[in-house]
Amino acid sequence: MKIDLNSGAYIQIGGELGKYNSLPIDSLVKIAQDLQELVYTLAKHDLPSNEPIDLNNFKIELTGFSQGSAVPKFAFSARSENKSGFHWREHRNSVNEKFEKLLEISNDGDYGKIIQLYPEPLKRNVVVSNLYSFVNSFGSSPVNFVDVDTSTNKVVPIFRINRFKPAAKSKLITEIKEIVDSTKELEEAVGKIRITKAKGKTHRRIINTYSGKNYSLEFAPEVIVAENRKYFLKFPLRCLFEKEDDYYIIQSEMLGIIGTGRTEDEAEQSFSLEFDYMYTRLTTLKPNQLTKQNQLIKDIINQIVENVEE
Amino acid sequence: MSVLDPKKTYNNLKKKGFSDSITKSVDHKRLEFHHDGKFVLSTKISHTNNDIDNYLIKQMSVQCKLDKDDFLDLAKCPLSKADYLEILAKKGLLD
Repeated sequence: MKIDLNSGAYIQIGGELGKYNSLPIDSLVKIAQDLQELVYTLAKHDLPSNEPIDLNNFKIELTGFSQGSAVPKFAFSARSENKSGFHWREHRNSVNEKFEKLLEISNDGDYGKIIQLYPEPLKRNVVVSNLYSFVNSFGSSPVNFVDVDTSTNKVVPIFRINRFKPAAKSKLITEIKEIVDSTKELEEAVGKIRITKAKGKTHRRIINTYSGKNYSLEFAPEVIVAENRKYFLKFPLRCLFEKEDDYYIIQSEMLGIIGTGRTEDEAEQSFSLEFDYMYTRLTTLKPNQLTKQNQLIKDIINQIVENVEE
Repeated sequence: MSVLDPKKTYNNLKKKGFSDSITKSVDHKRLEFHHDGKFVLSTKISHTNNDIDNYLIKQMSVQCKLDKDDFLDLAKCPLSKADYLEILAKKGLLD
């Protein structure tokens, strides 16, 4: 095992970022956070799921710097509160092993190999995202995981961290589409449609839609033609026009008149006959033979009808 | 889809207080409902042997001031004349 987070892994940061044997606080925080996230991800996805996993066991600490350049040393926390459970040591070793394999891949610069390490898209996506964030947190600075001989302060490179290009990352990320809730919401609306006819073809384009019970289609005749009579109205009689199941409805709620039919024409004819019946019948009845409701309807009809042609 | 037998429906509505209208047509009869000497409503019923189809049930339901289920109960029997009068009274249609 070349990398051992149990004892600590040195990261040698050279170039612009580490040239003063120091690290800017924000860079250090970012590097540490990304490394921590990567280790957590490995712990969550690579350990046996039938055993309790305490993520506290995988907390990383910054344990030292060495000369040469900025060489922070990161190690699993040595604090006793971060060593819980029976298998914390094995779990740490498993995570460390996967971490080392990822560093090997980075050293080769062939990030495509991650697909062999993580064939399952669900795991791979999150590992790739975190590894990408970690290795690119150093910017353009050359970075190595190194071994440091404390007696001689000699730094020996183990793994070089190569840049993880966005294109390589994209190839490794598999889009996972969540199952969309197929529960349909049904809403009825009426609309205004522009119909254009050209070269024998008819095109319909929705201009506007209006939903809610306050909007409806209307049938508004100015002349009502019944079997033997023609009613000329002072203004259009605005009625609801609806299609329900396999039939059409024309209804004046104000007059309590409804016509239905299997076609629009049938419904219109039915409505006209009902209007004719209502007009003639109410005319024959005296006020004391009518309920208040029907007296009101009679008054309205008489107001609406301009003249009747026999 | 519901269908009604026109003859049974006609007879059942007559039992519930409906009466024949003075107006007549070749293909349909019209029934009227009066209460306390006042005309309350009317409905058109098929005169042919064809079943009363869905669209005619819709028309008759609205004309009788009932929803479809109550109208089917009225036409088939479970809804009594007293129940029907109560419904109409609640809607203020008997005043």
